[in-house]
Formats: sequence, C-alpha cells, structure tokens
Amino acid sequence: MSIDIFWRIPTHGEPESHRSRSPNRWDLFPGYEGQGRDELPAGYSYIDYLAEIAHAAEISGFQGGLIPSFPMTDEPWVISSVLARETRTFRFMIPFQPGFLNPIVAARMTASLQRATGGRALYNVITGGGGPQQLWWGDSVAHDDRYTRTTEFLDVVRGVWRGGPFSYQGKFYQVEDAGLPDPLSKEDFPEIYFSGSSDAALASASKHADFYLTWLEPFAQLREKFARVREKTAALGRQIKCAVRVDIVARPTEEEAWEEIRRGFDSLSRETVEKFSGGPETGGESVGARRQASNRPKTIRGYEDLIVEPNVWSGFALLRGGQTQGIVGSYEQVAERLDQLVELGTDAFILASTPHLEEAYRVGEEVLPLVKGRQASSLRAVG
Amino acid sequence: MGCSGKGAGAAGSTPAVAAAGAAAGCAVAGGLEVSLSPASVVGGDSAGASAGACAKATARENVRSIARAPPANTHSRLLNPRCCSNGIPCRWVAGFFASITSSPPFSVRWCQGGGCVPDLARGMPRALQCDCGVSDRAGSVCLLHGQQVINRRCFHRSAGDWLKCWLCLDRIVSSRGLARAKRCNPRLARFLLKKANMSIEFLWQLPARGDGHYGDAAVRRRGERSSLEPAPLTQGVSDPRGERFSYFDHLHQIARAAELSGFDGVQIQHDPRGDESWIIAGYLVRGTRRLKLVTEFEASWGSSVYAAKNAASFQRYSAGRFAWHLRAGAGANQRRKHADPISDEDVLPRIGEFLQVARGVLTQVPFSFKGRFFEVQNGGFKDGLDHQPVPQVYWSGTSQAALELSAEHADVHVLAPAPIGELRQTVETLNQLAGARNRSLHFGLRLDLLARETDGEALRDARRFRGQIVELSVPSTIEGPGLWNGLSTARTGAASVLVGSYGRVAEELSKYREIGISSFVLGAVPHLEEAYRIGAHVLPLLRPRSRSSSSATSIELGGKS
Repeated sequence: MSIDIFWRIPTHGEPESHRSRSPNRWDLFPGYEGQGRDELPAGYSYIDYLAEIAHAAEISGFQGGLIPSFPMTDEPWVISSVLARETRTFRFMIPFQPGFLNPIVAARMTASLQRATGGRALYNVITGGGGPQQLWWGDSVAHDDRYTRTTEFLDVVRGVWRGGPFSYQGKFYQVEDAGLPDPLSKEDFPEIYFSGSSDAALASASKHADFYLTWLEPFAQLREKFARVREKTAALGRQIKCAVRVDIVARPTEEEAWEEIRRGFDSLSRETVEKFSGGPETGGESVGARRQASNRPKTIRGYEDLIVEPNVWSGFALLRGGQTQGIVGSYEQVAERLDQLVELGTDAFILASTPHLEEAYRVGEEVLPLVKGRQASSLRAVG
Repeated sequence: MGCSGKGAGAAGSTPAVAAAGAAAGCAVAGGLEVSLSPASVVGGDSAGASAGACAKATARENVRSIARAPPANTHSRLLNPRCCSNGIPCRWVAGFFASITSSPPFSVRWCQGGGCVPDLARGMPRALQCDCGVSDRAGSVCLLHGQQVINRRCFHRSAGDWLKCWLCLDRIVSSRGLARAKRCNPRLARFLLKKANMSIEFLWQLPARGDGHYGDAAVRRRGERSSLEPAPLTQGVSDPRGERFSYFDHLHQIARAAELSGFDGVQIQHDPRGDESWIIAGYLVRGTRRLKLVTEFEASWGSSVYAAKNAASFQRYSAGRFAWHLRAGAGANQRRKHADPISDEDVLPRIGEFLQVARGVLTQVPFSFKGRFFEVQNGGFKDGLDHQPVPQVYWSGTSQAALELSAEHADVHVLAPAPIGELRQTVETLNQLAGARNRSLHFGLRLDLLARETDGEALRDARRFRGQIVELSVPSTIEGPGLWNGLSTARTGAASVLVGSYGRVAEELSKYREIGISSFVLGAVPHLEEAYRIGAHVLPLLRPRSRSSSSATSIELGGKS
C-alpha cells in the first residue's frame, strides 16, 4: 500500500521564511500586527493566496492539504467550499471539533462538499486542547467527556450517511429515524484523520479513525506509540493507519538547511527562547503538547542544543508556532528520514515548510521523487 | 440596502448624521434633506443634539480624552488594524464616533499614512466607508478622483459632507454633498443617484434541493446524473458528459445568471433534503463578484461561536457579502430527526442567544456570555478575524415572539405575501417594537413570480403548474392574474406566486414597496431561465437603470449644478 503525502494550507499566516518573520504575506499572522505586513491589492483577500498554494500543492504531487483551524485563523469548511470549484485533485483535510456542529448538519455539509468537489473532502477530527481555550470556542464539556462526544458524533454521522433510517440514544446526541437524503447519501464517507494523544483519545480513535495522526516525536517513541494505537484498534477488530505531521526544511545541501535554521534561531529574543525551554506555554489539557515539551532540553544556548536526533530539530515552534519537531537536511536526507518513518509504521505524511507556496514546489519537485514510500519497504522485506 | 447589519440602533439615520457632523469637524449639523426609502425615516432624530454636543469640543480634545480612556461603548467593528502603524490606533477614532452616536455605521478604513489622529485633529479622517460589504473592492477607488485610495490622499477634503456610504447610500445623502458631487464630478453624481435608487434590493432564490424545467413542476437536478434514471440520451447518440457534472454546477450557473441579470443577491435556501447552504455559499464566493450571499439555516447548525467564526472567514473572502437568514425550522418531529431534541418553546430563545453570541464574538474582545444554550468565556475574534461585518440577519415569523425577536436582533424582517393592509399593519407593529429598542428594521417579502409577456400566457402556465402540483393547498381554479397561494412547488418554499404580465407583476411589487418593503426575495422555476427573464423584464420597471436614473430619479439634487 503506497503512502499518502499531504501539504498544509497556512491559515495561520505566511512569514517570508523560517529565518525571518517579516515581511509577512498579507494579513494573518497573530501577534505581529503592524510589523511588515503586506497589504493585498484592492479586491483581493487572503483566499487568493491560499488558492495559489492549493494549486501549487496539487500540481507538485501532493494529495491535498491540511487546513489548520485555530482561534485566529479562517475556518477550513469555508476555505474548502470556496476553493472547491477551482481545484482539481487537491483533497481538503478539514480539522474540526465535533462539538461545534450538529452531527446531522455536519453530515449534510460533508456530503455536499463531497458532491461539490468530487469526493475530495476528509476529516481531521480534533477534540480540543481544553482549558480556557475551549470556552473561548463556547464549549464547556470536560476533556474526557469530549472524547465520548466525539465518538458519539462520528457514530451519528456514519449512521445517517447511507440514508438511514438511523436512530441513536447517546449521552450527547439523540436522533430518531435520521438519514441523509438522496443523492447526498451516495457519496463516499470521508477518510478520518484523528488527533489526540491521551488514553481517551486513543480509545475514540480506535473506533472511528482511518488514520491516527500525530506530530513528529523521537523516532523510538513514535514507533512505540504507533504500536500501541494498532494494538488498541486490533482489539476492536479494526485496522488503523498512522500519519505524521512534520515541518521540514530541505535544501540542496545539509549546510544550507541548517543555515536557515541558525538564522531563524539567532533572530529570536532571549526571552522567547527561555520561555520555550521552560515547558508548555499554555495551561491547556493537551497531552500531545506535553509530550512535545518533555522532549526539550532545559537550557538552550544555540540551535544545536535542539537537535534531538540526526536531521531532527525540536525548535520549530519557536520559528513559526505549532508543533516543535521537524526534519532539517538535504533533499536526500529529508527523504531518507521520511522513509525511516515509513519503515516504523507511517502510512501518510502532512508536510509543511515556509513559505508554503514556493516550498510546495521545492518539496514536490526535489524531495517527493526521492521518497521510496511503502512499496519499497515491503519489497525490502521480501528480498 | 446595504448599510445595515450593525449593532442596535445602527440602521437608523441618526448615527449617520451624527457621524457626519463629526466628519466635518463638528461644523455640519447634518443636512437631512434627502430621504430615500420609506424605511429611512424610521429611527428617531437625536442627530441635532448629538452633533450640537459634539460642536462644543474640538476634535483634538475629543481625541485626547478618548486616547486616555477609550469609551466603553467603542464599537469594535470600526477598528482597522491596517490603519495606524504609528499613531493612536483607530479604535480610538472609532471610540470618538461611538461616543457621539449610539452605534456608528461607518468604519474608518483608510487614513493618512501617519495614522488617523493628526487627520482627525484637522477635522476628520479622510475616508469614511460603510460596512455595506461591497466596500472593500469598490471603495478602494476614490469616487471623486477615480484614483486608488491606496495612496490615501485622494479623498475629497469635504468628505464630511457626504454622510453616507459612498457605495450603498441607501438612506440619507446630504444634498450639499450631492451638489458638490455634481459640481466637481458629474459622473459621481450620477453614480450616487443610481445607488440611491438602488435602495431596493432584489434577491433571487437558489433552490438547494433541485430545480425544474420550464412548465414542469417535477424536481430535477440539472447537470446531475442519477443512477436510478435511464440515460438521458438514446444509445444511438454518444454522451460526452459521463458523471462529470453535479447540481453544484447548475447552482453556480443560477448565481451567475442572477448576477448578470441585475439581482443584488441570492438567497441560498435551507432544505434538509437538499445540499447544505453554507457549502453552497462557499462554492459561490469565487464565481460571483457582487452578489450578496444570504444563507438560510437553523440555529441548530452548531455552536454560535463556530458559526460566527465561519462567517468571519466568509466576510474576509467575499468582501463582506455574506448574510444570514435564520429559520425556525420544522416541528419537534423533524428536530428529533436532526439530532436537535429541544422543545418548541426553546426554538426562538435559542435563535436570540445564537445571534447575540455571534454578534458578541464578532464585535467585542473579550466577550463572555452564559445563557441557556450557549456559553463563551473571554471570547471574541482577534488578529485577522476582527472587524469583520456581522452578517446581516434576515428573519421571518408571524408570532408575537417572532416579531419581538426581529425587533431585537434582525436587520431584515422577511414577510410572507398577504393583503397589503395586513402587511402594512405588521410593518407598523414591527417598527414600533424596533423603535422601542432604539433600532430600525428593513422589510422583505418572499414571493415566487410567474411573469410572462401577457396575462394570458401567465395564466396558461399557472394552470399548467396547478395541474402538476400534488400538494393539497393548490387552488381549484386560477381565475385571473394576481397573487395565488399554493401554486408554488414545495421546492421553492414561497407561500404565494404572483401571476401576470411583466407590467402587472411590477405594479404589484411596487405596491409592496410603498408600504416599506425594500427587499424582495424572489424565485421561479426554472431558476436560471427565469432569473434572466425577471432581470430583463421586471426589475427594470422597478429600478431605473443607470442611464435613465438622472431623469427618473426620486431624488432631487440640492444646490446649484
């Protein structure tokens, strides 16, 4: 089974590069108001730039892209439907928290989006980091309960998908004789990428997810995590695949790649770095964020201190926010690391690099052709 | 239409005039000489008082005091993050307006490069713009000089005289402003007059579940091939289409038809048996340029914050063209089917909370709320998502509670057709209810049209429809042209169809206009063909075209020309 490689749509803004945050392309980069933000020409908005990236990704061989949703970003449902008509193969990976939508409405939205795109929608189901953030979204349900809700939500969406009649009595959702109308009910159910590192998350993922999605973690740790997920799902008689979200910096030579990181790191203020080494930034309940933070050194003198294994740098959050670990190296090295990840059980990647437009072409043209993927490893096993 | 969709009280003329007073450095007390639509006179008149109070303080002092302590009622939609890179942020300029008007309709979008404060001290930030939505694109060209506003210098010095949105102008224009426009730019004057006459709004319905053919009431999804139906062409004829097209392609065509034939927007129908309206709206954003996308849905859609956040993205991507039409939805049975087991009594209160929270997070940071259905803590949109216009809220309903809801939260109350006298009464009631809350409402009418060249043709088609529709409410005979209940197909959702020649239909519609209805939500099957028909034959009778507007206008130019 070959692997799927996705790109990312930078809903959270587009600095010019990893090495410098200014100028920013257009209007969305939190916390940098007024600092070198470019103005779009009249009549254009950020979606015009995102459309460029989606095209770049589909032209250069990516499956599609993750469209992250944070409090300060635009929403992926909107972006997918807006870009539906002008893209051809780009698959829209829509992260959302099930609690925010009525499941029947969500089923109709999804089926309509499938109809509008020719089946190019897929879910990234997230269940929320919790804490004060969750009430910002207007959601007051507690952490472990939210996973119950996620499970129920997906039960209902799946239940009504083929047209019903479907009835359900859950803690959070109750429906009677529900079903998607024809012809919406003829669409394929979207693939589900599932995020969440806690036990409650794994339990929920094992029931519904097609892919278990995680940030990059130290390779050994990741191998162990994937094994655990597979074990849990196998116990339920299901199979699950594993996916890794990873930032990359790929250059013709390794030196150039690390130079990019060094310059980005050297431009950071001391406070930023100290705060980063101090532990997780938010008081949220995200287990994944805690796992990432626990892999950081306590004192950081230079960017080298954040190299956790060959070609893996754990300071990406400093340069761009979001996840911390990413792969840095020559085109060949990056492809090799990706293949190592495939070997330890990865079936899909969501890659990203800044700026997303140019890097989509670079990674698509220079790195992807070097990735052997799944077929290679199975052949090796045979040979 | 256009400048509504603001906070409480924003839609009236008062804020516009008061803001104008401010705009001219407190020199103009507000020339309320031209009133454009029947609805425009609603909303009280405290403008003089506000402007007078304003005149006592110089603009500079105002700004200083505001800079020290931004007023609590600062209307955050006025904030413009791009506006001041190094001056006092615009929110304080906004606060300046907020302090003299209850809720200003303007947003300060562009100003001098050095920030707006020096400008305000001299009198006014140069460029005022309303939240009507069309603004982002069209507003970036100076209407007086035809230059890009990007250079921030071209707005006319006397911008203060122009008390209204340059683009939608749906209510009040200072006649001094118009006279000046005529003097310095006749083209602009014509443009303004045209805009003024366009205060009437025509929306075309987008049928979410399927359309029909001419003279045929059966539901069809044009472009889509159902596997249940036989192949459309005989085996002897090759068919290149395969399954490449879906109903979305047709919806896109209808929207384009509506845009090309002169409609102001589309109303994207909510039908649980059809495609989902928000997805349709998104699908249409990039293919349309100026259509307002009025998206119909129920408050059971999901969390209000999530809806508002999706709406903010829509506004960013469509230059503010996104609007909401809230529906109460069907009865308890249907709700149970839709994972929404709330009681009948809770439906309207939930819509109220939904709108309150949505408006809150779109306009205030931080925003907290704890109601029966929604809860938010320290909410509100920041960074790129702030300052997005709250979607205009369309709402319909006839119960007392529904009317109260309208008065409290809606921008446009959409009525079902009824005898004029009855509607007039509803309009008056609603005006009173809204007035008591210091708000004003626009009024809309949801109606299907069956317009043909002659009454006879229209009747023939009406009778044909009657024969095809299986619903019980179909009238037994169609005796003559006029308003007929039950003739609509279930798919269009309108209560009545107006049958008649183009002239007759236009005449009937203008009667509704006289009682204050300014927003017509129209539909007819098949929607694409009929959009062109209505656009070509009916709309021009109700809305003078631009080239004839200077003679046919209902507005007179003040001053010498």
